[in-house]
Amino acid sequence: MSERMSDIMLERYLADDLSDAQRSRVEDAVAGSPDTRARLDALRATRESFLAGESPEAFAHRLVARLQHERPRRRGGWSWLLGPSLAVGLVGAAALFLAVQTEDAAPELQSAYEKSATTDGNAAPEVNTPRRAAPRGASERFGRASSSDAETSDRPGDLGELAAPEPEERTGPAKKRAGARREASRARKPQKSARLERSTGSGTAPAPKEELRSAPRGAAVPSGGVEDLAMADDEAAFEEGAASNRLEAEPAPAPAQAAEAPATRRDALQSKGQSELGAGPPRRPTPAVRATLVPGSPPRRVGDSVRLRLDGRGHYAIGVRYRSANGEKAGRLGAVHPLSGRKTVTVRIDGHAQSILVLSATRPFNPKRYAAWTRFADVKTPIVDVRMQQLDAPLAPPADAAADEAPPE
Amino acid sequence: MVHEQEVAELYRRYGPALYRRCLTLVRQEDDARELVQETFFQFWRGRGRFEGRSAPFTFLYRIATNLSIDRLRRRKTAGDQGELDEGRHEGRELGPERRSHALSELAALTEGLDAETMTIAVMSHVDGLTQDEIALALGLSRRTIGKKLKRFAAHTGERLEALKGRLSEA
Repeated sequence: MSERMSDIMLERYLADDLSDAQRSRVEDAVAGSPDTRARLDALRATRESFLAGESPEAFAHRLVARLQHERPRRRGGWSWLLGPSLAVGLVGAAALFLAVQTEDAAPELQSAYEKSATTDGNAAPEVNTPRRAAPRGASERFGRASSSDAETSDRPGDLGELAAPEPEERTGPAKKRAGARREASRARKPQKSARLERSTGSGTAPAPKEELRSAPRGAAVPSGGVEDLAMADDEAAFEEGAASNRLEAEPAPAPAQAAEAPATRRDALQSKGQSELGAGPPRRPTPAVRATLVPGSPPRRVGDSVRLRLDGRGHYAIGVRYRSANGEKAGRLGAVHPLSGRKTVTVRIDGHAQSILVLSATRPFNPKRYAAWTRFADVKTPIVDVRMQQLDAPLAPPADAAADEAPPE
Repeated sequence: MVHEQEVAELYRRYGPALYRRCLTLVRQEDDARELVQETFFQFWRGRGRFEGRSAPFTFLYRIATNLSIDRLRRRKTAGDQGELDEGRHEGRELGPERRSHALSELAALTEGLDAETMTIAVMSHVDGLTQDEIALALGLSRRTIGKKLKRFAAHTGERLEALKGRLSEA
């Protein structure tokens, strides 16, 4: 009984598009089946009828004219600006962000000065509030600064403590803690009071420190106190004093220290990683299996074979990449085999191969995970180069290839 | 640079087969001729992507099938089912009425599929070819055909079952 032959095969037979073996099969089928012969005759008649409708030369002329008239697709006239403008926009956004961050601290500083310069006698000039404008972590410190304003004004040497009444009377343990902090701060910064006196005393006669301290809380400010300071004629001296006070009262950490102090554990890890990475480039592991092309003429035609010499201890899989249109996946990845020692394998090239890739690992691996490597752009260079890829970390390729996307055998 | 002689030779060899392919699907001679020209146009415009991968017939056939299904989709959207030229272009397995249903449904079912899978699906479900015949005609392995048909079935899902049910009722 003759083989059933599809119309498409008969069409290809008439178009002389079959290999010798396929042609023989078709001829056998036609010879053994009158029905197939009748279909072939009908198709032949249809072909002649179709070609009679428009000659191939006329069709070709029309098509070539159309191809020549169609200009290559171009992007819009303005679209070439898209990339540069996007880059400029990103840079601008980054600059704006930095500017906002910088300005974020400046008004705080300015408002603090304005507040201290215009405050009345019952309010303390917050000459120590510019701690918000500290160069490091300004935004991070805002909450803490605002929540501890009262504590800040309790510090010894602060004009706020000396001049202003307590916003609310501290009682009990809170007061004790404040007192303890005050003592500790006093011990820590012995120069501060002297410096404050020096700065505040430049314009008007300042009240002696002892007198100010001995004044009861909530009492009127003695002459030469903060009120005088705020109304001082020598504004420059006041600002200088305020600035020096700020620096004394809240010394900002040195930039180097700030950089060294990781804010989070991740920072610490990153810092650690950087230091480790900084020691040198990551080392590439030695391939578990080395592959070399056995000398000989490289294959140039379909059906040729390539001999590979494998050497090593581990597991390997051999893949062949083929040409592809539109970056479609096209490739074949064989099974994983163990290797201990040397071995010569033959790889048959049954397509327009681009390259051979030998994947190797010290342990058995799932080759389907590495199907993504078959994704490549169209190339015109025929085979052959042999490349090795060690799958053990850190060279593992992306594992996003789904199992069903494995190239066909 | 496209040479008219090359185009003419290709047209002489494959034009009739492509015309039959298009006519089988769209069932209108004018449309089929127009689609053949469009097929060659697309082939020559993008031939750089096709060179060396497989025989030109496979790509031409795929383009022709894709364009025909697209045409069917537009017709379906416009509510025009086209003329049914009974008895002349019917497939071996499906009668003309069932074939009409199959084409109509297939146009909707294959939306979003790649051209190769759609071509294989048409050859299998419309032309009634076996997987071996499709593999032989397109120069692909039978396993690839099976996998593409599985992908097609997964893509269409329940809609394919409904189509088969309607076809069996008819």
